[in-house]
Amino acid sequence: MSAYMSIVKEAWNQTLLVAKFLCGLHFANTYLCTVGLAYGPSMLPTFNLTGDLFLAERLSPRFGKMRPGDIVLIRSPESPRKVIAKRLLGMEGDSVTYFVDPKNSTRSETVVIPEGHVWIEGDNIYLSRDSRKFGPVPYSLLEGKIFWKVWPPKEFGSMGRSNMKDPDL
Amino acid sequence: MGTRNLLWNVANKYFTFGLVGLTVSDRYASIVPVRGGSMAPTFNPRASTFTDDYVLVEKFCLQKYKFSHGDVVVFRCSGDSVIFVSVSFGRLHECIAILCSSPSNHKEKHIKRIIALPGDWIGTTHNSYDVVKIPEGHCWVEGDNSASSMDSRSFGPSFHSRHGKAYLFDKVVNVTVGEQEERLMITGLHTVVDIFCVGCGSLVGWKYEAAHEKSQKYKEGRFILERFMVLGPDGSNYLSSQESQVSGSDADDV
Repeated sequence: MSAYMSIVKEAWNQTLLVAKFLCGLHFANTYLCTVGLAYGPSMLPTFNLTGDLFLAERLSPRFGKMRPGDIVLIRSPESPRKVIAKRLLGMEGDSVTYFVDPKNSTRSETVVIPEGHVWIEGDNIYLSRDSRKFGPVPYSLLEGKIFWKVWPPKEFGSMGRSNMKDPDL
Repeated sequence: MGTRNLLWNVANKYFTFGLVGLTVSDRYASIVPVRGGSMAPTFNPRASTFTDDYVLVEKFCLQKYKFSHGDVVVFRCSGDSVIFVSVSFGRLHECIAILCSSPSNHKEKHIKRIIALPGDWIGTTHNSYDVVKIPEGHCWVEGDNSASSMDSRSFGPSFHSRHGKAYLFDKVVNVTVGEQEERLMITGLHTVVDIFCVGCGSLVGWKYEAAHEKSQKYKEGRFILERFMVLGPDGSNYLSSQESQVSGSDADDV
């Protein structure tokens, strides 16, 4: 009988440990840092076509520490089931000039970003669906700031404003 | 040594409890208080600060973003877009959702009811007559108490006609057109003509002759019929007035 009880107790302790571990994982993933996979042409040359593994921290959006030039993880305003990676180019109140159709013309437009919104663009402006298409994006859709590239191994290292195409932007 | 052990145990217990509680409230369900009277009479039917309603909010719907008309949702909003934080179930099998923060503060949450989903059409009562299609990834929310609710009517993708709901048609018969004019609507400048019923001559809506915004081009050549104008304010179809008019014209014929 006592052997049976000790087995039950042991099983309970192990279950509790696993549950604690999963909860800890959830906490770390939701509030601290997450891993993601970026693929597609919109962020060339920062992210490769085939899929790059990166780390994104979730503290900066929460505390309003985002700055233009950061690469961000953002929930797509067009299909809320998807999360996309883009570069942040303007905060509320900034005015942004962009090419409407860079492939065929040099026509540019300037907009002022309204309150509570940000402007995001892909690094590859020729093949990217971003704010030029759907306008400024609410700040609350920001999910994280990408700060470290994990895969491929030869590009392992921190990323962010330093490798921006135009640091004066 | 004993007190240290005890302290460690207590701290450990609280930490575990907090972690589990946070996970459950993030992923599965949580309880939120409802403040303010924007959802009266569903929540807070009496205006009193001491009797806030508390609602259970479920978050399973967030994994697939499955929402339907009439759900009450909790969300954080910013400007003209709405993102869902969660949906909850309340009384009467209604889903309860949380509304987004006010445009100026994206941390604040609101509770409102979903009126229209992506692809739906909705009219706006917002100082101009217009109909708008809800874009992908957006939805239209309104408080149950229209007198004191800040919602899509004031910040959303807005499409209400002057008299509430309106509908876009490809073809409308038995109408005559009025004079062409330029009209500034929420969605930009449009060239429109009013349309009138051939039977009674009353204004029932308008036709879009041209739209000056590229995104509104789909409206060109189509007709808006306002529900209020067709059915009457009480939805009675103007039955009584129609009858009196018919008898009047009969008398003229004789």
